[in-house]
Amino acid sequence: MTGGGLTRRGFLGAAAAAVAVGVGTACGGGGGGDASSETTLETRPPLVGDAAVADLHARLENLAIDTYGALLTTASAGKLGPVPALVGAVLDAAKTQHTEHLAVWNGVMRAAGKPEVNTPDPGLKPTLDSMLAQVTDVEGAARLALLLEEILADTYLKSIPTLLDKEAVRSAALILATDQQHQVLLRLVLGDDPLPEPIQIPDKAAS
Amino acid sequence: MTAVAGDPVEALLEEVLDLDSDRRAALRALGRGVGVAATGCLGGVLTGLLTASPMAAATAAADPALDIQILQTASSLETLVVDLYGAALGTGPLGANAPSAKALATMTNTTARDTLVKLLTETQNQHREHRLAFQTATLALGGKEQNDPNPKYTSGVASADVSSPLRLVDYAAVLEKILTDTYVVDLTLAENVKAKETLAAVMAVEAQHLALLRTVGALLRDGTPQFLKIPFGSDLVNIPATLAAVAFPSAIEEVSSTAEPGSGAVP
Repeated sequence: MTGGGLTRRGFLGAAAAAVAVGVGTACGGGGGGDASSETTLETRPPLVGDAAVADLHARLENLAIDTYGALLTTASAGKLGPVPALVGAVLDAAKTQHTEHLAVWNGVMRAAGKPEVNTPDPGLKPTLDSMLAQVTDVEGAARLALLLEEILADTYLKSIPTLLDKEAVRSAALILATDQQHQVLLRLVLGDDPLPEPIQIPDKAAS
Repeated sequence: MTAVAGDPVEALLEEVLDLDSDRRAALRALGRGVGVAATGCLGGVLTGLLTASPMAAATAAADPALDIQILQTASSLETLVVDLYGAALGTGPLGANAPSAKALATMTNTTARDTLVKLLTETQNQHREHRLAFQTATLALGGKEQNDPNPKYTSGVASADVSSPLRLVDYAAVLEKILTDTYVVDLTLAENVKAKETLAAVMAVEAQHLALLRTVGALLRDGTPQFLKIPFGSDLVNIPATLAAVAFPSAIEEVSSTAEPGSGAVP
């Protein structure tokens, strides 16, 4: 695929910025996913262990759901031009599956006696929204979706060895597998190599 | 984010492991991942690297025997699929006479055939790197390197019906699913951090192999080999939407068949 308001080169630069911003602002975050109230954050004890990881994953799953939702809305409004059926199906299925993934992590939060997380990662959200505003065609939409999947997958990859609960490890691994599979079709849609890394490196992981 | 691996990392690896250049390269690759992880908030600086050393591994896992078995079995699974793809590519013991190699040669759509050969070649190369990573991790834990294919599946692979491109692709997908599921389960069993990092990093790629093979299989099954090409180009609008559900059929896939940790262990 060629052309588009969000070109590949421009996208890569923006993607690097997105990851950098996300890491820079999210470090030391957590706290149940509600960043709207400083008082709440100050009074709530920091999350630790698996709950902290679940919080991070839930924030990112919310980010994915929001972003996919926005892409689908934009596509439905005709703002991306003609959308191939496969692209629409990938965006739609991925959004649905991320909703299921979110439920897993909110289940972990509930089990830990912590509140559910129903807001996107506050560090990455503004940057992703900014990139979303630049999407004007199908290629741009697919590239943004791919970046999102890479961030989520790399974050899972990084966090799996840190999880203590075996069931949480299993869930994270299975979700990582699915996110990796989302990437394959997005890369095929884009005409990219579907298997770019022989061994996955978590270089886009958020924290 | 910036990877932090550099000379100090390599120096540490070489200090604790006396390995040949290929293994050092693989460790450097994994070390970069660890280094990147260490730049985040969750990871401690060099935590992963230190657990790659035999001394640190001993502290991370009280009894590394199970971790070693897991890594040896993983090596044996990688050899199994390296051989499967090698046969299809005509580089196995039977050369071009292997049933799967003959099957690929029958493909009349040359673009589809060339694309499939390229994908299988890339996949085989990645499995070689996976095997090296598992063997390296095995040695780091003080275990013996596993070079043989997994005996649980060897006879099945040898007798599998791979007499058509579709059957070959479908069978390869079955094996990739076994590898993916095995590593998922292994992640819940392993204790050593480096072993877990390696399993996760490889499992993530096996999942991609699986999705790609499912996609290729669907195109062949539907009688549309003309769409088997990268990029799709103007045919993107003609690719069926059903491929999404084929490539990732559920949000959290069931684990099906797995290789037990001891099934490929070195006696």
